[in-house]
Amino acid sequence: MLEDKLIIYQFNRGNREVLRQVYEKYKKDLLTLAAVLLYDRNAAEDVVQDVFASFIESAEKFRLTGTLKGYLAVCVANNVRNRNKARQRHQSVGLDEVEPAVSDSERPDFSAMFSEDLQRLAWALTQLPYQQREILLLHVHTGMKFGEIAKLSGESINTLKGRYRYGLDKLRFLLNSRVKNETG
Amino acid sequence: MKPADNIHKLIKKLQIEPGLDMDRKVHIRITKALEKWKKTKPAGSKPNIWRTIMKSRITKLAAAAVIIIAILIGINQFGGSIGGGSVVWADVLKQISEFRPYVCKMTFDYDGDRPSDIYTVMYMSRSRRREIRDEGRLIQVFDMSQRPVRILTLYPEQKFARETLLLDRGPTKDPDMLRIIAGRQNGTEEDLGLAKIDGKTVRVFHSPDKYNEFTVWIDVKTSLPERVEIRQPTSNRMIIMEEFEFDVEFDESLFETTAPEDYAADRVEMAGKESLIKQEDLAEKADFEAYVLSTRPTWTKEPRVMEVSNVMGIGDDIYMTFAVADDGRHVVLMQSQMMSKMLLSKIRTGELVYTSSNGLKVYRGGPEKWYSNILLESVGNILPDKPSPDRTGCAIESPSGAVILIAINGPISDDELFDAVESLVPAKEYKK
Repeated sequence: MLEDKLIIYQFNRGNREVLRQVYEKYKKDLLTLAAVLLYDRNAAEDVVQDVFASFIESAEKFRLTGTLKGYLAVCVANNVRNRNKARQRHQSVGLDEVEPAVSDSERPDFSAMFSEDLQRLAWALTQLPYQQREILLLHVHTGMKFGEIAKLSGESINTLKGRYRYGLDKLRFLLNSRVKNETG
Repeated sequence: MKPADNIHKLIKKLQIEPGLDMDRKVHIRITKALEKWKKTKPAGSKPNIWRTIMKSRITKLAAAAVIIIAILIGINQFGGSIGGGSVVWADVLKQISEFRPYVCKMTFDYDGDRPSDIYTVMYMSRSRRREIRDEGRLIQVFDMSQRPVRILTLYPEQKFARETLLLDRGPTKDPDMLRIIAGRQNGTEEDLGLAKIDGKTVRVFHSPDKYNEFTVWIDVKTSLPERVEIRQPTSNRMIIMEEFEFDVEFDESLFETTAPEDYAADRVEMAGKESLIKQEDLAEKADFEAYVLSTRPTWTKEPRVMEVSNVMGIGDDIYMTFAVADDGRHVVLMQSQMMSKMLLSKIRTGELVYTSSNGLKVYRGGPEKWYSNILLESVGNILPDKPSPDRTGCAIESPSGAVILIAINGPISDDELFDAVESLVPAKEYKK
């Protein structure tokens, strides 16, 4: 976190090139987050580009309160949510509080994105409701604490923890079931 | 093992490599933003105010300088000696009795939980040395070869430099431990035989002493030290010198004591006696709205105030309130009218974390590690400890716009910080 503060401090002191450093440091994690949330690599790249574009535009006014990685990760998650909502509006489907998991007909091709051992996990994640998938990735993959996620997203810690627990339980069930099916 | 048993590990393994196209697009956007900023910012914009706190300040402080540390401390306590008795030891004395430029790693290892102090020191001569601390984040250059003694303190990451002049010191020489070792001879040393350090064969000598117990490891080929350990029981510490390199041809520029051109810099001149006052005197002394701690922090002793006056007649006075703590978490406050004017708009860009019952606003999220280091070093001749790696700080705005910077030489809980802030009252309202 001190490194993040130094980056922001350097930026505020006129060293704007640190923005490149920020991108290079976090691009993989942010792209992975977007891709697993959207299950679409091309859309994920668009999201990461949009998030960085917004960050660059607002960088002069930026004030770090948590971690830089956490902040950018939540921006990615918010961007993905907005895209999902926009897509649902276009499809004239009523908005649910909990966005649906991926249907079989929409199952993405993970072979292009992940190695074989991770494809099972990626598939299982698509079976979770969006919000459970999101909290699992933000907490486990990005490494954010629940408090930080709550602060940036405006949701209560208890709600987030609940989603995380349900998501993890379902993930365990799915992965165990899949193993059983594969091994007969 | 079932996949579900290591779900966390699997999730962390998910990684997608960005394509070159994405990289190119983002970097183009960054370049465009940089070009836009260059056009909108005037050339030679003033540097962020955090880089300068004082200009041409002169402090009335004790002769024991703020920055010079007697490595130096405890040197006067050296007693005992190492005697001759072997050809190797006589060769050692011959080798180190004449100065030769060298570099080594110094470690001050303290008993208990206090963190070690580790730095690299380069000795150009007995009067000029360079110390590199905190992985290069703090560099100090000492030149004692003339009067005044000059000390340059560099903060490379913040591109800030402080030139300190000790007006009534110098020329003088650094005691330098190797020369002290060379000066000890009374035949009480013990030859502990041969050993190996990094593949080198060394002979080990030990000198028992109540205040400074020496152990030196001597390279049998060069008769030069490979390692020196000095145990100082009265200071509860061990000093270790290792990774020696002798006869180094240093670049002269490493020992310059003038701030680099691309650094923001200030200068502090020190002379005379220290000027300590009580908190209750601040009401009369300060010509601005200064604050005092109406109750001392629960973990410190009674606060005192150091008056920092500008005898050059430029600018105004600075008041450093300090409270020494037995657990090392010393508290230092800095207040001045000039500083308030310079910093007010800047501190408001931090995060407002607390507002006290008497309207004091506490901001955090600025370069606290950096300025707390400066505050703690500014009273370093009074505090028993150097700035700790886990020091912290905050900036406070009073209802009338006065600014107080606070440094604590260790971690502090929110409750402890807010209690301390709640105890701050205007000096004019303070009655002991």
